[in-house]
Amino acid sequence: MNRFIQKSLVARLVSTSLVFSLLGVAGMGAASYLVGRAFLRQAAVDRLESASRQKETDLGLWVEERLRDLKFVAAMSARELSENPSLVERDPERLLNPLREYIDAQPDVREVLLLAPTGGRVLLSTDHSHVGGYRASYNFYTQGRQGPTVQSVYLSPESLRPILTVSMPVKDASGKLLGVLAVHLGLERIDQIIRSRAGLGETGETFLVDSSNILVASGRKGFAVMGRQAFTEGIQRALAGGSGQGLYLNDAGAPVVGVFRWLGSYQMALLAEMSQAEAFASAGQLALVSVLVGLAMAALLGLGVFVLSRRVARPILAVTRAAMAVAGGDLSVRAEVMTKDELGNLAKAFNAMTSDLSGLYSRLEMEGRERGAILQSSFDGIALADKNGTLIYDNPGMQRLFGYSVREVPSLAALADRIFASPEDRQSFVVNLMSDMLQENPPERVFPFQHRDGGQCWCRMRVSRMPGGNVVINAQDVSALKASEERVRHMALHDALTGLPNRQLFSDRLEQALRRARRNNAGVGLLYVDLDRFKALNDTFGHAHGDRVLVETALRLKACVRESDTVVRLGGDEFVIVLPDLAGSKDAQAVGEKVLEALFDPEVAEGRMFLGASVGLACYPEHGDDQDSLLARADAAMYSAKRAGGNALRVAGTLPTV
Amino acid sequence: MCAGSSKLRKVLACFLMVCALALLAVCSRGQNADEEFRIGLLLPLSSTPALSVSQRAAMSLVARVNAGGGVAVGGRRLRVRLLVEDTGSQVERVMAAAARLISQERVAALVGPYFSRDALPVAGVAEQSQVPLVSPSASNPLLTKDRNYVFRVCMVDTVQGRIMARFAREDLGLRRAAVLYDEADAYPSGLARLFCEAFERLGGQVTARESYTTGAADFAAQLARIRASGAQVLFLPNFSKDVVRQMTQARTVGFSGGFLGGDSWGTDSALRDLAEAEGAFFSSDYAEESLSGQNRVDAERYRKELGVPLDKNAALTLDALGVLLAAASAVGSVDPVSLRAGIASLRGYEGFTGRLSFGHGGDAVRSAHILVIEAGQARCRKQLGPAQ
Repeated sequence: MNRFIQKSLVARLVSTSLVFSLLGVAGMGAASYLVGRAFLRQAAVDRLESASRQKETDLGLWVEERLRDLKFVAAMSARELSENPSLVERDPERLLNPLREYIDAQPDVREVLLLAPTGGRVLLSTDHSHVGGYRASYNFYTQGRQGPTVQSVYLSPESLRPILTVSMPVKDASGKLLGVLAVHLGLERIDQIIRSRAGLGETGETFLVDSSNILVASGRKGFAVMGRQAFTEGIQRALAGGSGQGLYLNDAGAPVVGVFRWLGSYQMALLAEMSQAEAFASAGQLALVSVLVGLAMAALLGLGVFVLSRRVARPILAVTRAAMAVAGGDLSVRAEVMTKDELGNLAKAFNAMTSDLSGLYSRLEMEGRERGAILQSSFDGIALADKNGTLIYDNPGMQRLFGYSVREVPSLAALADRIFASPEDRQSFVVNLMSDMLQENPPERVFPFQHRDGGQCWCRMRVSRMPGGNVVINAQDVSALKASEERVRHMALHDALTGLPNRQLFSDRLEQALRRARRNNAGVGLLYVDLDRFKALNDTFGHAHGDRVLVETALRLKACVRESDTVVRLGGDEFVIVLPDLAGSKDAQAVGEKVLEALFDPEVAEGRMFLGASVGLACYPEHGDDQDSLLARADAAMYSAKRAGGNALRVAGTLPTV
Repeated sequence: MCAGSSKLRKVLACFLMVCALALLAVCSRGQNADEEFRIGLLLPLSSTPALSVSQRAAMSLVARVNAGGGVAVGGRRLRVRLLVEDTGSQVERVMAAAARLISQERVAALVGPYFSRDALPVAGVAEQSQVPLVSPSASNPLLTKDRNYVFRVCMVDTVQGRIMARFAREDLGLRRAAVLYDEADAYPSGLARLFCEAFERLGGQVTARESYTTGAADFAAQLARIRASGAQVLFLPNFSKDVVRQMTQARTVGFSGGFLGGDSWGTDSALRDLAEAEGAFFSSDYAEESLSGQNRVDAERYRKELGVPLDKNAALTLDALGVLLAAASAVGSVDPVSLRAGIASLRGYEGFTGRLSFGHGGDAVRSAHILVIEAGQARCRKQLGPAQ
């Protein structure tokens, strides 16, 4: 449910408006209850006030009535006593009878007494047992001697019940005190007054409490326990001499609205109370009605908000749906423009934005495709690596170059493992590239590697940094270039006809041999070979034959020497042989002898090929310690042999120094 | 919505909390007052005779007990609260005061009233309410009769009448006595009757029984009849205000015999200062000169505190209060019913008016004194133990 509310705009709007309107309804209900309650409380208090005032008046009237009765009885008694002063002793019944009749007529009168003018002796009483007792120290007696008196409610010593006594003097015509007449009044009549519920509603009641908290009279139905004690807030406040009103719990613990007044002349508290439930019932109803109305309004409001939010939400939902479709990748979707207000503008703006986006997207897509095609069709290898050397991308050129794809070699180290045989190469490849990644302008690396198909290839590689830390690796297959380089170099150092090293390479080789001999304390032999009568042969049989002789000579010379020896064609029919690492010149002479033997072979081609050669030998260190001197000595020695008729070997040392 | 709803929830939570707090504030009412020992003191202050010395003595005692931490009751110390009600001189007022103390103030016990005419009606209320009442000085025998909750410290009129009759008959050797009493008041009328009965039982002759009613001021007719009857001694069991008049008028009419009285004489110095009262005897619960030990020290302290010596009623008041405190300590409770049991079983309480024991009804078993008025002072003439 909550999830639904969170996801639906309409539900959110409706629920939020409902929550606030319900709060409002609660507030309104509470306010109307409180206002109604305050109003009703005042109304209840007014009713109770007037009822209690009425009761107080009734009480006053009742006491006055009894006092009037008493005056009548007193006047009658005075008349009798004046006529016959000794009537009390002689014929008390004559006086008592009317009193008894009076008591019978007035059930609230408990006892009528006639007291002696002095000493308070009870002369006559409707309760015979009291005759002869004394009431001297009673207030109703001492005051009653002076004039009509109402003694406020007190606890009767005889009955231990609250009573009220009215008393007055009995005087003869001359004003002489003949006695005091007193009437004890029971409080049943008060009960009647109190019980009358006029204006007090269903639960209203009044009651009287005397100064010692004793319930004198109560209006509660069936409340027969007069004389018991009662404690309530209203009673306490009234007994403290106050009058007022308040809300408190009554004697039975029920909450009431109460009005209390202290009746000083009776020494009693009069309370009028009404249950709060009754008094405030209308407030509850008012609150209920206002809450119900409020709820209906809230429901209407909720409906209104629902309709409105649906109308407001529909264009928004249309835009939302379109936006979600766009987010899902469908840029062709357009939001429907339903209104001409801000929401309509929103939809238009959204559509404009979407079409811009769509254009941009297709341009980007095309560009991407182009870039991809460039990468894909580039012959050079292009790869993308992060700064740790992990390979992210490689193009077909790269895969072609090494024979591996990124899936197989996920990193530079893995690549190195595949394409290099030696651990050193692998390590230096990785280390070099990693350090190149950090440089602003890294060098170009050219290195040989082993292709997946086993071929040895050359690669030229360079890394360049991209924004964001990754690097682009560019690589080219330079094997062909390398091969042609090698060919050129060979051509520069070798004789084109025989394939033998030429003079330039000879110089290198001799120099190396000399350096090594000096270091190893060894010897180097240099044989200078010149074919005999080659010019004649050439002239006789043509240059092509001469060339064939030269090629054959080269083959034969090579067959005479060790692998480490170098046979060089200096030009024309002149050859030199460098013999490094010799133990002595004898070895060189032996080689020279073999050369002579190889080049003199008249049987071959009917004597048109190997007609002998003149060979000069110079050795390091015996005959010279550098190239020039050695070559010159060997040349001289060969020349000497040539002059001697050829087909001979001459050693340099045997000739005088040039 | 998430943030919105959590804000809304907070608002609702606050609202509910405020409601709960308000409810709590409305409901949490009422408290328990510290427990204390509440004693009501009923005594006349606004009428004559006013017992203000007794009131001050009682308040002084209570203040001292409270200063010492209160009275030890069942392992606790309770403060004593003395609630004083002026009874005036009207029965209605006494009744209302007693009802107020019992019903409204909810005292654990009552001290007073002092006069039988007041004590008799109040005793009925105390008995019905089951609140112990200890009267210091109401001596009418009916007071404690058939009652469980009513006690007195002073001696009963039957004893008083008997010891005065015996004193007149045996110590003074008189044979003819007369009485003059207020028949409207329970105390004089009762004591007069009891004296007469005892005197006649001892072989004496009551030559005249004259009465009057409260408020009378002229006793010449009665006194003349008494003189004519040949009485050797006149028993005046009335309150001292009347007695002063009666003695003066008796001498005026020529009565030359001695005067005897009851414990009511002990309250008024006007009587002691009267020339006609010289040599008159009366019974009393209290004799200052018979005090000894700690009681003498305490009496001296009260004299200093109050500015006057302890009179009979003040001494009886202190004893009545002392009996209540001792009973509460003994039973370990200030519940009225337990307290009653405590008083009823109290034995040998050393009071200012002598050693007091209860056990036979509500009357203290106690000693008595017969005092004689000499040169404005009441001196102890004779002390009588409980048995006598």
